[in-house]
Amino acid sequence: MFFKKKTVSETKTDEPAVNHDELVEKAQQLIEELASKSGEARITCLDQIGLCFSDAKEYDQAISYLETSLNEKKAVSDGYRTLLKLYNIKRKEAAVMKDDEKLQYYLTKIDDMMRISKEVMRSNL
Amino acid sequence: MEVINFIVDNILTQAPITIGLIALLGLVLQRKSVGQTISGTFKTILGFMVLSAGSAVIVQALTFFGAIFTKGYGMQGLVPSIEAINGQAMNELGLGSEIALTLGAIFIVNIIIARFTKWKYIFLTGQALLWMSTICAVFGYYCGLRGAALIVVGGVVGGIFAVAMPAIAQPFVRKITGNDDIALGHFCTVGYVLTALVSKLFGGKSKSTEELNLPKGLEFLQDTYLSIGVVMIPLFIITAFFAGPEFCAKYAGNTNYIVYAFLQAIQFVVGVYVLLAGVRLLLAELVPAFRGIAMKIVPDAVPALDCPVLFPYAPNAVIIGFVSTTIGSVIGMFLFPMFGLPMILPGMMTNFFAGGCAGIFGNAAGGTRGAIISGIIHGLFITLLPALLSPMLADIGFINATCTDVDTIVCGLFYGWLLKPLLGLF
Repeated sequence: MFFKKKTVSETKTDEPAVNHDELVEKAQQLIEELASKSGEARITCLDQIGLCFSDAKEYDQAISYLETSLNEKKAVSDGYRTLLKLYNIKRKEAAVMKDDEKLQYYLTKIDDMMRISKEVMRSNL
Repeated sequence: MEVINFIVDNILTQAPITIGLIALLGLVLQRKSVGQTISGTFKTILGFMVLSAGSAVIVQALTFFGAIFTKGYGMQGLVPSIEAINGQAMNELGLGSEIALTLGAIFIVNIIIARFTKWKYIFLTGQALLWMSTICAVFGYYCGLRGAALIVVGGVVGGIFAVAMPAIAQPFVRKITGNDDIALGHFCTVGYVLTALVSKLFGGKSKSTEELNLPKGLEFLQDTYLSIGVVMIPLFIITAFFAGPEFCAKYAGNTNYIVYAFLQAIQFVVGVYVLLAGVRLLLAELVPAFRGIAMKIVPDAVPALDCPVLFPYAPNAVIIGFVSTTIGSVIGMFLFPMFGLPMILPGMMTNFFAGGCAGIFGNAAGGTRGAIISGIIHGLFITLLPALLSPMLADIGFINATCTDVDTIVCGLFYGWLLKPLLGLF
């Protein structure tokens, strides 16, 4: 029981089939609309772009837009939670590829997310 | 032989050097440059010395507080401060080397368990691991363990906690986050699970805390040190008032006793500030080294992260959990001395972080009503456990402080109530 060989386990979830091309197209449309937005609308748009790319498994692009959103406004939203999930995915990839630099980079990013969570909670008091 | 004696007497028993060597090993294993290795090792040693300096400041303030509390109220009052416990353990009790080596042993055992069992949790919250290694080293010493035996037993016990606590919390964390990507690495898990179970019992189908509109008004919690000061300053001043000017003059000299009490309260906060600065420096090299190595050895590891990882999933529940835990801890503060236990003063930081996280568990299990009721029970629980541990802490030589994180207290009780009698049979 305690000395099972390491097996690759993946969390099985019942995910609906997602159309990669549709999601990317939706993201591109939102990117075009982004230029005309400001304030809260811009933050929401950035988050939506990030979420579309994340659902389409375009993780690098998703991270880029979600980081931009978080840099402009620190908030704990769906965008925040998705970004944390993506950092974890990238962290895992780096661990599998034994890329020390990237591993530490994403672990530090996860630390930053903890700090943001504390900051936002405190500022909402 | 002389060389070995020199190494044992002048290097391995010197806590700052021991901890520096552990950091050096971690940096070398990560193949850092010579410059980074020297800088990282130096900063780790510096961190330990800063921590020791902070501890000395805290102990002076706590000594005064303990004396006036006993004089003023006729009972023992304990400040819940794991930082003070850690500082005293490293400084006054001279267990710095043992704590550092136990920390390393906990890292190793955590990696072994995650690598070879189905429990893939790697505990990444450095500060919490430092508190756990403190308790394992201190109570191992209390049980009569010394040297390698103390470190190995501490590593095994602490390493098991580092995997078991995230594992126990995971069914609830899965419900809160909706996935299995992350786990909770916060040594207050026993309290969280209790909170969830109580909430499920009393919550019924009440609506989620996130559907509520909560008023603001807790701005004082925005800063860690302000939060501590808001509690400690009135406590010190009121207690000094009850102790009286004649008694306080022994400590205050020609300074007005109320002014002196105020300054001692600030001194306590300063001590915590300095100690935590030392802890951050100390862990800054150790934790990246550990987690880098751990993640490579266990690539499918589930990172167990600090409690703020759950805050974004239920921010209102954090507030409700904090307030209800505080209510419970204040009730406990007055209730438990009636049964001969010492008075445990409320710790605002614990009530916010642990109470807040408990609120999230409570909300997940039983909605708003469940979160409120279970929060109060959680407050009573996190006041009772430090009170139960305090006689052993006093035996060991700790001054006027007790632990906060309940998992570390459970670990201490395991050593004191189970292991010590067992070892006494041999």
